[in-house]
Amino acid sequence: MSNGENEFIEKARLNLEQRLERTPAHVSSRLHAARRRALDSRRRKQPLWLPAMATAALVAVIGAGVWFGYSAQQTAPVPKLAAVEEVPHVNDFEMLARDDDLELYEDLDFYLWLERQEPDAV
Amino acid sequence: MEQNQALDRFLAGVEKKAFHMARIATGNEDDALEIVQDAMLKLVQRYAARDEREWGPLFHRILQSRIRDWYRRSKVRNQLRVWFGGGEEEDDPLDNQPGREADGPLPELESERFGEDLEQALSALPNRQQQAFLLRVWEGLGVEETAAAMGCSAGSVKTHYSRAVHALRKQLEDFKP
Repeated sequence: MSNGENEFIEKARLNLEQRLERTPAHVSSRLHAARRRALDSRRRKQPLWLPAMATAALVAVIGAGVWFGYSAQQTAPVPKLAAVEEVPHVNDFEMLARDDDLELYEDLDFYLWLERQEPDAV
Repeated sequence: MEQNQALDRFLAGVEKKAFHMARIATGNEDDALEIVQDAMLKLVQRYAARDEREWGPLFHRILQSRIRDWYRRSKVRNQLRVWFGGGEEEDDPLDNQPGREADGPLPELESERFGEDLEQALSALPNRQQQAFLLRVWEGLGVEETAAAMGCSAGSVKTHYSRAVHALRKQLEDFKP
């Protein structure tokens, strides 16, 4: 690099440095504001992790609750059917459905009368 | 907390130079401020956790990348303007250079005029030459650091820098020592 080139580069550098000192006040002010915004964006960004995690956990818990509640509903016995089994006339129906006892029920009055007439006969 | 203070100090130390670099590149104060703000935001949001010694090269890399983006957008805008009727090319900043007075200027005036002419000549340089010159001469970066900031090879930096110095000296030959 020649001396002339070195001198030119040094002159250019000094001139550019002087330019920094002559930065207009309104530009310095806007740069300061831009710096504050940049730093604030980091402060705002950091705490967002906690609410985000808490929200995700809450959604997961609610989702799991809804899912398991639905599954339990699908597999549980239907209470109405249990109640139906206890109704007396259903038992009567089952007895009537058995062919071998039907004759006995048809002649039931006769056997009851017979019992009254001859207590030792039945 | 300490890291925020360190970041504050770092940004306060580079913001003015970054602004002037961006303004020379764009020729527009508002665009330059926007570029510097974007660079600050990106550094803080993405690289604040890095070692403090890395902030300088990272910041310059982001800044130069934003300036290149501005050039690309500007090129597209100018092209559209030509297609849709604007038509006229922008004036070469060097054409508006004030004429020399016959009498020799006072030293402080000469320095001021040199500054104006230097800025115009820098603005007229191709973007890569301008970046190489400002990062090497003003920011004091080495060839490798400049290559990292510009996202190119060390060989390209040397070429751009050499062409920039040659072009600037030619433009400013009236101020030859």
